[in-house]
Amino acid sequence: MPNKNGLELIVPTSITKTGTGSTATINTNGSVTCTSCTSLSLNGVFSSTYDNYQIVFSGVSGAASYIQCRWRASGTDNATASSYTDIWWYSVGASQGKNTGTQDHHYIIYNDASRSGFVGTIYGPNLAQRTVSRWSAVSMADNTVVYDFGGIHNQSTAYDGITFHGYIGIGQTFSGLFAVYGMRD
Amino acid sequence: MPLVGTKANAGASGLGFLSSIPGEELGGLVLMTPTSVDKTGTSATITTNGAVEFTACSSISLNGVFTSEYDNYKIVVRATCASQVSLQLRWRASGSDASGTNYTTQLVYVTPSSVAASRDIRNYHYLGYVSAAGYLGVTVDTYGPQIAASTHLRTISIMPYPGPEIWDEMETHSLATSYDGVTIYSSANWTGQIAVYGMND
Repeated sequence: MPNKNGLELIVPTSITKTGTGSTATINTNGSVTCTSCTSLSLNGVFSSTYDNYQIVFSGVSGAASYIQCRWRASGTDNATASSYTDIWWYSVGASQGKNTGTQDHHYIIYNDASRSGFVGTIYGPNLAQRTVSRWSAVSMADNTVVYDFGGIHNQSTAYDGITFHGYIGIGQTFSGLFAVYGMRD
Repeated sequence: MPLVGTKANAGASGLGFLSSIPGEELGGLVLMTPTSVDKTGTSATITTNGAVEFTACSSISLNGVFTSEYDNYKIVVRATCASQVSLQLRWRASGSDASGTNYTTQLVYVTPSSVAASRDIRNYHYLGYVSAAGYLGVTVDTYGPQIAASTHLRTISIMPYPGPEIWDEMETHSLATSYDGVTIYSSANWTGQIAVYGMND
């Protein structure tokens, strides 16, 4: 019998985190609430049941900084150098601009200690082909900024999870609510 | 007990759309099943749940995906192509594409070297570029395609062509026509998946 429910909230099979004094909990329906994490891994959220996913975040960072992410398979982040290409544009006040870069992670939001959020759309992370993603973010950092990130990951790997990182190398903390939704197909 | 999160509890008695089931809770997004699919190319299949998967087609038409049941819809496309070509969209009514010059587009596009804008009036709407460099991902939110008034859409897309690009785009279609379908086409054969979701109202 067809299942027509278009968006399905996914329950991680497990979560792992880092950060002194941090907490992370899988909520009853499957979203994850964390506090003061420097990294948060959601394992088992991507599967062959869905091709595409949406991830919604609402929360804060400890200070003005980026939250980044890496795709994850069987409990291990893919940190291959130069495998994550990003392109983004932003609007701050009366100015706007763009940037691009290639590194070992994606950029997905620039935020600070004020409430912020993003919606990410992930195309085919569990398929053994390049994963592309799009992140639309808003935050109060720098007196309200709009960021729109696009990510292309050049590894043809089937991923089952994602790790969110406070700025890698600095260990910035973040807190908030993450929810992963499968898009029925 | 969770109402969401596992396939088991999202089935016919969970968050599905079969309104004949007593006490069923409707989800906010409902995957639409086309009444039929027309293609130019090798193969196209409607999955059990209603998405359309196709291989080596230059044109895919989804008929009967917009109904009076919902006002607004989300279209999600994932596509790749051996050639580097643009992907275009036309609204469709009773099996015929709307091919008049009635599609006004305002686009912001970001490349590694620039961020720029353009406005054009065409007989189709651009979704982005497909190529062999990877998959194009594009999400289209459309407002009232089945209502006999002008139809509006907003797309966001990410594409590896031939370097990374992101597009933010809006389009207004000026005809006051009630559309029940959509055609997505290109000048070369492409492969991928299209899913249309009704936004429950």
